[in-house]
Amino acid sequence: MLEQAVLPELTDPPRKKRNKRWLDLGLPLLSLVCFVSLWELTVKLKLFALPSPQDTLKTFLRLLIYGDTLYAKNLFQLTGASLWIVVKGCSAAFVLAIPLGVLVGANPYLEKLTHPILEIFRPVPPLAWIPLAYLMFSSLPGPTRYVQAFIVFVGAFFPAVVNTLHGIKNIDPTYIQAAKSCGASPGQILRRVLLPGSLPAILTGIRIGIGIGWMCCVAAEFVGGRMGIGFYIWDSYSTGGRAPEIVSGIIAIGIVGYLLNAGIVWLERRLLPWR
Amino acid sequence: MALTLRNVSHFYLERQVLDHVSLHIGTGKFCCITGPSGCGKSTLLRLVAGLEKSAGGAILLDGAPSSARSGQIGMVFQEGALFPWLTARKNVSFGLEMQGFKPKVLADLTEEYLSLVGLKQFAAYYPNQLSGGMRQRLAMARSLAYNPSLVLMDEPFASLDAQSRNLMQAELTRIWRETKKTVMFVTHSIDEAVFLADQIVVLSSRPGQVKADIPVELPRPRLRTSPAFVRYREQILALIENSEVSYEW
Ligand SMILES: Nc1ncnc2c1ncn2[C@@H]1O[C@H](COP(=O)(O)OP(=O)(O)OP(=O)(O)O)[C@@H](O)[C@H]1O
Ligand SMILES: [Mg+2]
Repeated sequence: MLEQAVLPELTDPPRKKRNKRWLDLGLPLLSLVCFVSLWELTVKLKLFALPSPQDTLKTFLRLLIYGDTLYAKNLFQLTGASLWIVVKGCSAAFVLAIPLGVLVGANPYLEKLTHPILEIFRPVPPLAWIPLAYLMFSSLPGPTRYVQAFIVFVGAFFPAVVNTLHGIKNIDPTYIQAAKSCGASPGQILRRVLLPGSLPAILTGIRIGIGIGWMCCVAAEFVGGRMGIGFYIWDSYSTGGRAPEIVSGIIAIGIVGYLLNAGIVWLERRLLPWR
Repeated sequence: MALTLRNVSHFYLERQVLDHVSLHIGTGKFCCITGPSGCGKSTLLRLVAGLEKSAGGAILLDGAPSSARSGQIGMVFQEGALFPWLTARKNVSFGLEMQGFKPKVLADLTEEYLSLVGLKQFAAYYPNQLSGGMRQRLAMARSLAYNPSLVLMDEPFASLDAQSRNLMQAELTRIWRETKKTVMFVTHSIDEAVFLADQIVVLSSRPGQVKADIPVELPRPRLRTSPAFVRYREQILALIENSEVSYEW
């Protein structure tokens, strides 16, 4: 019948060939090997005062398993303390930013109203807020925790607002008309068209927000407090240039950042099967 | 459901798009609207669907002003406008959910309309996994499922190749005869109009005015090569010959 006549190919996407899979694993591995060799070379040539890859690996594993005796904390506890601040700052940012982005994106008047404020504060580097934040929270016990969470909040807030806003604005108006023609109410249009239609952009905003929030957290920990991976690498420097510890901390920061990103990418794939 | 337009005019800002358009489509009739690009055909459908308000004139459904008409009108958009985040099945049930159908009825109707357009096996597919023809059939199923009495279609087959287009026209004729809806169908193709319609309304270029309103009295199934078919085609072509826009047919 008709099905046969206009049937598209329904075969599964072609399975990856074996050598292709080899490349997927092999190339990243190769780049790592090259990187470490180059690192080794700069150490051998004494170009910078860098710790050797072997020393760093030993220190990294020691910090991971036994921790640093100076602080009585291992890498999990150090990054965990920072992550906890990121969780708090980002949650607050997203809870505020996403509804705000939806409202502003759906209402041209609100957009005009908020545009100058958003555009003036958006280009300010989140770290520029640190001094003011210390003043703002100075009356609270342990202001540093609030300051750090606030800096994460500022870093995560703007990408989340801007992406959500654009996600809503870029929804094809014929989707809204189609929903209306089916008899959808404004509430139904919001829940069934605007939100699912902008979800890809919202998730992108969350992904970028968490990435920036993580960077901001590490940097904010340089300035004050006695917790977190940022504090750890800064303190390792100021207590006498413990280079392997510093590089281990950097690697830990990178790995956590990578995992955060990969987690959201995984979530995106689960939540957006139609993509 | 019968649709009557009386002196419907419309403006976008200062620019007039429709100029005193009057026409009548009887219950269960298939009406094709044709006219040059930009003459206001899509605008006319949006007015009838209540998506925009006309500047003047009356739009009557069965003689009554079309106010509380939720669920009486189905619309198939020029670009399909399927929701890419919903599966074929969920797209079809969307309108039913909006109309507040009970879950059991909703599920049954969804399956019924999926089979009506031959997409039962593709219920779990997302629109971007379907071919152009399948997408258009899905869009038809979505707007038919909640059983509107009037269906508005805006060049639904324009993006299809000639072969699937002819198949879809035959398919639509079958569905229309099964479901007995009143249809208002916009097309650029004279051939398509003569194949489908009981009545062809030709609009002039912007601002759109009714240039001709021609009843098509051909028995169905229609044969594109029959002399009567060709005569209708030539008659309509002659009507729009002097317009600068060239027609594909
Ligand atoms: N939302 C809008 N705002 C302003 N002008 C519009 C809008 N929609 C349509 N128009 C204008 O109204 C006129 C009619 O548009 P419409 O889409 O109804 O034409 P059409 O006959 O459907 O054309 P086509 O055959 O190309 O689809 C065009 O000149 C178009 O530029
Ligand atoms: Mg149009």
